[in-house]
Amino acid sequence: MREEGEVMNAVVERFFPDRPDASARLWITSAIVWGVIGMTFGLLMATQFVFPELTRGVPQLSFSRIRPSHVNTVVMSWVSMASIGAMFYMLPRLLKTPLWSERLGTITGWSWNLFALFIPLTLLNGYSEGREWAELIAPMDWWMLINLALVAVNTFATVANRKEPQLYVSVWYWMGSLVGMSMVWIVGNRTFVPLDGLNDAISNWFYAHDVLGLWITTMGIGIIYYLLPKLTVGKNGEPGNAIFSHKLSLIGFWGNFAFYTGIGAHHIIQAPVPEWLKAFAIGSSVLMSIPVYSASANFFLSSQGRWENLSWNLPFRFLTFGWIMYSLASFQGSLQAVRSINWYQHFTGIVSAHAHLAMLGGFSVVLFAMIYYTLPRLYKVEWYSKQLVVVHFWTFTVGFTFFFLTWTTMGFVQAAAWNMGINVQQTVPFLQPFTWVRMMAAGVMIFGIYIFAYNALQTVRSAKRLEALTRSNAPSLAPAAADD
Amino acid sequence: MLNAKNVIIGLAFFLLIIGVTSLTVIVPAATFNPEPTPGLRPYTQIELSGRQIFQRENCYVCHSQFVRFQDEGMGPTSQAGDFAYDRVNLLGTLRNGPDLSYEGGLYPDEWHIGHLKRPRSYLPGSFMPSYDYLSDTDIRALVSYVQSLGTRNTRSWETKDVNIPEKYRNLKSPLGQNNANIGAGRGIFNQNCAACHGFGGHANVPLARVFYPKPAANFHLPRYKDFTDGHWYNKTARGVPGTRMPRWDQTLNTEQIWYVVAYLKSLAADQDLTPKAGREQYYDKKVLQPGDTVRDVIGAPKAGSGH
Repeated sequence: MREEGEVMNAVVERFFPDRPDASARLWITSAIVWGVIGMTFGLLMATQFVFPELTRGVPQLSFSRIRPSHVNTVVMSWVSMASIGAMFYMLPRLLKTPLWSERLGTITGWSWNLFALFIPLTLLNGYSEGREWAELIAPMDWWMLINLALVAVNTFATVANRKEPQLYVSVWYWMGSLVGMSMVWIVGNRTFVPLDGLNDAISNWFYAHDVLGLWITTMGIGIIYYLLPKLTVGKNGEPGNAIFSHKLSLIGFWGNFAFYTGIGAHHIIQAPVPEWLKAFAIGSSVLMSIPVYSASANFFLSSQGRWENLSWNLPFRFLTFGWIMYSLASFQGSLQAVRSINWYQHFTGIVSAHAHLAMLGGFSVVLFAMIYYTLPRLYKVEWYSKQLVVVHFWTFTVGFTFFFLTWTTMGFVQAAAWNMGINVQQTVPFLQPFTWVRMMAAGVMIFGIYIFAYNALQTVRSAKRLEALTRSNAPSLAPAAADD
Repeated sequence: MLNAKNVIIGLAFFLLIIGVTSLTVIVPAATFNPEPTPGLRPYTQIELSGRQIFQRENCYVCHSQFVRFQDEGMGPTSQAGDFAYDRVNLLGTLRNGPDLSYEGGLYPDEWHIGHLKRPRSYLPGSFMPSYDYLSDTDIRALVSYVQSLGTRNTRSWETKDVNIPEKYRNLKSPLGQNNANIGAGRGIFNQNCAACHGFGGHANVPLARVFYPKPAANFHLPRYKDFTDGHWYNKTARGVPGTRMPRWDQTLNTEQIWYVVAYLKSLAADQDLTPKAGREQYYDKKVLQPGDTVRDVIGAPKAGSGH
């Protein structure tokens, strides 16, 4: 009996440890795995445009089943898990309080991992609700809600127990995101709010856009606000810049939640939904300029005087690339929602390219910066290879640039052809040269991601080896990992 | 920690996002209930199960289902009432493939079945996946659903004059529809058009296979009965942008074009001559009653059964 208890304890200690930063480790390393899987789905789809018969006869690998798996894995597994991991790392440091329960954090982490595993399992096997972006079936909707609630409990309890009375702006953003995401999840899924016909489309697009607006964007901006002061530390240890203006960051916070919430209907501007709703959505989309530009200005001005960090501080380079892409994507988004522009470019590849500008060029890169910053501090080792980080940066950015521009050009070809009166079927052959370029650019980009994942894997493995050494009373080899 | 200021800020935040959400999702749900378009009927049992296949295979990621006012030649602009019987919306946001709002009746069932299994044999250059892993039952249901789209609330949209310039719209043929004129038109057709459209408009020539976009293949379909003189004249004289169909008004004179039109008008048959083997077997006319759920009629969705 005693042995069984020991095995049980060992399992609990192995998978649900209660040590500081155990949750952040679990969430961030899991996110890297899901990022690789989700983006590989994307590469597979880009390839299927060139070789449509590639996976012929395998229903699980048919393009139309991979597409929702790609979207949901990237959004719910890669970006969400990495953001929550970052929050679990940063909250204790900002609040000078340990996380309320590391064990709850690790339990939630494994629950979310299992959930993330079931995303491709259900969608690839044909269990789909058939609503764009919200394809997950009812049990998955419930499961996600429970996961979110557990994360929220941990976060809010940590904030309530805090020793630091002042709440940094990032904490505001994260608390707002958790409330916002829970609401979006409940209102946007048919499981909880079943509506019919066009009303279902309205709630569908409310969900699809506000997962970005009230969750990914706000979590990501909180992360950027945390990282900027850390990454603007000078080469000789000069102190980093403080946030340029807290007033601007608060304008960004309130503006984001006020204007982002109502913009879903700009996806269906030419569908027969009520005109006042479209007008409201378009107005909100344009007003989104306020929080976006206040945040961008704040990021820009907070980096002033430390631009030379771009030459040697690789996380700072990623972070800057990321938030600039986010600003561009938001600028583009506000424009695309305007009727006269939407009239021309809706239904074309420009929209999909725009989504990738925000999700991949923007927040994924912010999360790369976050991982490059946090992983050595979580595992108390240096990165396995700095050269590989440089390779990741250049393969990713060059690949992404070609990827985005090619897809946008495809969209312009479609829009121009359709407006000439050429029908959709006849436009398809015009796109084929572009699908080749897009596939190759995606390949280069994903190669960078694989390099990144390999580098992270080797880093974690070297840390594990080091921990084993220290445990066996060998002389401590751990370098004095930087700081906080 | 729980001082008055924090409570007020928290409450303001809640009110803000819940207020905007109610305004943009709940208020429309309460106030926006369009009446079904006149003539619109609920889906039949087989069409509903086809719709479930459509959802399971996520076809909406490439095929939208609403027509905007600027979409030339796709059919009338979608009205709010067109979606009255849709339980889950399938509007879509990307057109990698054509819009399906008015797909019903454009092609025979056999075309759809074959195209689903081998898209590139029917439309060279298409990047649609091959759905040959779907069972025959699934494909029949899916085709029934696709054939129901648009035919439920409209007829002969293709003859609407949205796409035709003013000067051609109300043209009437100056020629009588008699054997002499039809024969003259056949001669001009065989010299100029048959290379792509085939003799007798049957697509029985190599170019009808190798050109992409494919030339109009079968002028014997009954829907050509609905073409007006102006419509025929416009298509022949102005050609079709984006295809090999040239502007015949630069080669033929007006009189010659009218002879060709007389010939083409003589081809359309009174009924669809394409075989409909087994069609009645799987067309089930049981109609969904208001208040029925999808599950009441066809049982739980057969997810994962597509292979």
